Amino acid sequence: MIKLAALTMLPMLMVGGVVMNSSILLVDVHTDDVRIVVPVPLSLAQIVLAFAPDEAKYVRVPEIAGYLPYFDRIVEELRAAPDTLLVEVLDGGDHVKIFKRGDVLRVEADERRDKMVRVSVPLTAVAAMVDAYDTDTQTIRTSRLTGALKAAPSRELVDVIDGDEGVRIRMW
Amino acid sequence: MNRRSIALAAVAVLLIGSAAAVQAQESSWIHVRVNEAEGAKINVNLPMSLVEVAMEMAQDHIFDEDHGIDIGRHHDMELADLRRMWEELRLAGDAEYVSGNDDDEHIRIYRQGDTDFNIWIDNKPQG
Repeated sequence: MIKLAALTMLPMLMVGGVVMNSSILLVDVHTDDVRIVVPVPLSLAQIVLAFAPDEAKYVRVPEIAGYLPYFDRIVEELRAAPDTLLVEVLDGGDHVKIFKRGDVLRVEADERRDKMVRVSVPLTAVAAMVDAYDTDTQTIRTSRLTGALKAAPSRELVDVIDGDEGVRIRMW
Repeated sequence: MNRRSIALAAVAVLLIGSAAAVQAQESSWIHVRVNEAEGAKINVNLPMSLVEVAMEMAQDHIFDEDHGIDIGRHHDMELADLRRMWEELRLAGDAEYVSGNDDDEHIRIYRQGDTDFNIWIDNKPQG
């Protein structure tokens, strides 16, 4: 009986171990009357992606193929640059800021009072995207992107608020 | 947003950016300030090396073999012309390259030290 219990517990403990040691992507979606919070352990996501159908394993992005050689250079230049405000546009009630903080490129856009977008782009993720891009098939391997996110220094990746609705994606 | 201000800033960025493609100076920065009297305020601070990469990326879109450089509806400038103009400016050294006023605008393009290029466009309030 003890043996059977141990055998039953083993997969759960293994999954638990993966989850415990993994960075967690916390997706928090809210509307005016519903709130959904989905924690996604990145290590587990990588394992799941390995068994997922090709549509989930590979994302086709032919648009970036021509720009790929430049991305590495942009990451390199941004890494070398000091932390600073790169672009700021104030136009009526709209305010957009792009700045570099550590190894993260941060975009903040406020449209009057009730619309707000905050996006942090870890430079490691951009570099990983370039590595994960297959020029023959013009696809990105998603499991390598999740791997890159684990190493990302940023805790807050995306924060969008539009009136009563919002999406927030954070790393834990 | 004043199209003329944007076009002027774009010309200046192209001028300096195309120069960067010729001669990139490490740790050089380009600073662009546009102040519309009753509109947008733009503040751009970019390492020249990054502008160089951006220029190469955008080259296919803004440089047209048949029409030269496409800024708004103006198609009368060649990349080679810009580079020549830049070379002249570069030789002039640390200086104020452009400073001008018209009825509603003040423009300054100047180089400060070996590392900073500044483009300021200020719109005056109407009436």
